[in-house]
Amino acid sequence: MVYLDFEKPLADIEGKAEELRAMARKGDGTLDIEKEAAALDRKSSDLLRDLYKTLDPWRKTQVARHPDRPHCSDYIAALFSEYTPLAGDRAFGDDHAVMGGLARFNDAPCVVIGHEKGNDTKSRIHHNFGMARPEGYRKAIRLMDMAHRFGLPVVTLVDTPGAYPGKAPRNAANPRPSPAAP
Amino acid sequence: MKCLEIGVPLVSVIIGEGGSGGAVAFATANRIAMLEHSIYSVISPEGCASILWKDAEKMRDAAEALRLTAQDLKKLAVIDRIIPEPLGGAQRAPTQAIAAVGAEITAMLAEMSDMKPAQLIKDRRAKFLAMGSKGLAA
Repeated sequence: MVYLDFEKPLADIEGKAEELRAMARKGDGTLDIEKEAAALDRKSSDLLRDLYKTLDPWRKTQVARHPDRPHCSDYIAALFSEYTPLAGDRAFGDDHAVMGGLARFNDAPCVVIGHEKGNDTKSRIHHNFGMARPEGYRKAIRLMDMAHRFGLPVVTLVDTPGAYPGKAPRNAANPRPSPAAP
Repeated sequence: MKCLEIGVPLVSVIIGEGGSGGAVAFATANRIAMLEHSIYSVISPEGCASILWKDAEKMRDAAEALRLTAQDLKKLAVIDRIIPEPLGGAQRAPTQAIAAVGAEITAMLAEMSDMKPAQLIKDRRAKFLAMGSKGLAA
């Protein structure tokens, strides 16, 4: 569990409750320990409710970026069946920040497209932290065209800090970085 | 732009961060929903603060001014629905949050089940042209 900075007091209480339970498990526990831990649980759930009742916009931003939040791949795995990923933009390459393909939603065929951020350092780098490059958007366009052709509804799942602000934009007409001048 | 042209139902759910053009490219939809604690904005609060006040540390003020929360955007009619999250955010009960998103997608697709392609394109266009006509003043 990753705690956000405003959740610090919550982390303290939940940590203490966990500690008490660990002590109880070791065997030197009496009934009092469980009672104590339950009291802490109540305190932490009250605090959680208070904290989330009025989140200011900055705190919301932090929650929206929470690393443990379910990501696009989690939604696709849970809500869609027969997901068949389609890769590549037919011009330059594949962008791992954008995932998409054919799938079934409630058994009806559809196209699903979304940003994927990744869950650990390795996968975050692989997915470029959810920041799509031009080829990612070309892939999305390709999938939307396909949906249009086959009359399939499109579901998009948005989760990106923004498009990747890299230099040297790569376009379909000039997919490779230009060769060095002679 | 492709989003505006296709004659099929397009629904979009903002599940975390909806950052700038990267997000709107996917969210040019007939129906847009946001999770309760997700954000959708033209720029990150840090980016906004550093451009406006040359101080990225003022992100709290920027977040306030940007109107990036689902609640504000619903009032501004930029989005259609807010999907409630489990207490403490989607990260505390992912299964529950994912199921809620699934139910909303079902509902949004159902609303468009008998719309013709031309109608869908017109509906999407009208939605984006109307943005900005509803204010926070009410």
